[in-house]
Amino acid sequence: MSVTCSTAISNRENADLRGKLDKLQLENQKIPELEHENKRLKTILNLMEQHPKTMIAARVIGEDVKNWFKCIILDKGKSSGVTIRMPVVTPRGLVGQVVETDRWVTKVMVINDTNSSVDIYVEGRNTRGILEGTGQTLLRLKYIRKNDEIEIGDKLITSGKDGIYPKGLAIGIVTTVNRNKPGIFSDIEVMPFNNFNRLEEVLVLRK
Amino acid sequence: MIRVIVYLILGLILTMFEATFINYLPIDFFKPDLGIPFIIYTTFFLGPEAGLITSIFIGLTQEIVSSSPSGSLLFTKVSIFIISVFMRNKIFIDSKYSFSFVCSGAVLVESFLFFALTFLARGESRDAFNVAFYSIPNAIFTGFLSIFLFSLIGFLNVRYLNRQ
Repeated sequence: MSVTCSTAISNRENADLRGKLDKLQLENQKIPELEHENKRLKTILNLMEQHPKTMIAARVIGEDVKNWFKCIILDKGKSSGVTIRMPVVTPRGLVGQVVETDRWVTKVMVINDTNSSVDIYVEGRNTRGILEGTGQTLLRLKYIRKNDEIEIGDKLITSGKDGIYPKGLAIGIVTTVNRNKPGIFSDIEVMPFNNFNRLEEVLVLRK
Repeated sequence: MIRVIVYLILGLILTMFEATFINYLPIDFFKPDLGIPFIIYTTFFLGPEAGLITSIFIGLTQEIVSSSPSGSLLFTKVSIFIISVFMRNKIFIDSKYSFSFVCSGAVLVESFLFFALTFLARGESRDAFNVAFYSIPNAIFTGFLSIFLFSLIGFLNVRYLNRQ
C-alpha cells in the first residue's frame, strides 16, 4: 500500500518537475533573442549619448503595404518633434528621410526606394556621385566617370551637399564597378550597410 | 448591411496586419494585396454600393500605410471597383478558384493602372520598372491567398451571417 502511495507521489513529482523543465527550457530559448536586443539597444544608446538632444529614438512598427515603394513606419510623430526631411539612421548607417509625419507616426522613405537620391563621397578618394534607389536590395551609384577613382570595397559616406543628409554618414560598400559600357559614366552597384527588412529601432536626426 | 461592415472590417484588419506584421516574414518579393479580394467579393456578391464603400475605405487605408503618391492607391482601388461593376454580368464566380482567378487579374489590372499613372504623371516614372517587376508575383500570391479568403467568407456566411 505504502509502495503504491510513494510511486504515485513520485509520479506526480516527476510530472511537476517535467513541467518546470519545459518552462525553463522555453525561457532559455528567449535568452539569445534578449541578449541580441540588449546589444542593439546599447549601441543605439551609445550613439544617442554621443549626440545628446540631436536624436530621437524610434521603433519601426510597419512597412509599406505595397512592395512598389520602400517605406517604413515609425512610432514617433510630430508630438515627439519629428518633421519632414529629417534624416533617419541606425548605428550601422543611413536609412532614409522622413517624408510624411502625423501626430503619432512617421513615414520614412528608405534609400532603396526608386524616388530616393543621396549625394555621396567615396571615403578616402576625391570622388563624388549620386546614389539612387532601385527598389531592390542593391543601390545604383550614378554620375561617376570612368576615370574617377573607385574600386570594389570602397565605402560611401554622405557628402552633406544635398541639404538633407548631414556629412559623413556611412551608407554602404561598392560591390560592382563596370567600366565596359558605352558612355562616360561607370555602372556601379552598392550594398547598403543596413538590412532594411530587418530594422527594429532607428534614430531620427534633428536638423 | 451587416455583411458589408463585417467584410470591410476584415479587409481593413488584414491590410493593417499586412503593414505591421508581415514585414517579419521574408515575402517582400510577392506581397499580396489583401484589399482586392474584399472589393471583388462585395462588388460581385453584395452589389455596387457595397463595393464602392469597400473600395473607398480600403483605398484610404492603404494610402495611410504606403508612401505612394497621394491619391494613387485610392484611384486604382476605385478603378478596380468600376471595372468589376462592368464585369459583373460577364464573369461568373462559381467557386473559390474562379474567385482567385479574378483577384489575380484585378491585381494585374491595378499594376497596369499604376504603370500608366507613373508615365502620365511627370516625375513619377522611376517607379515603373518596380511596378512591372513585382506585378506577376503579387498577382499569383494574392490569387493564392484569395482561395483561403473566399473559404473564410463562405464559412462566416454559413456560420453567422446567413442567420439574420
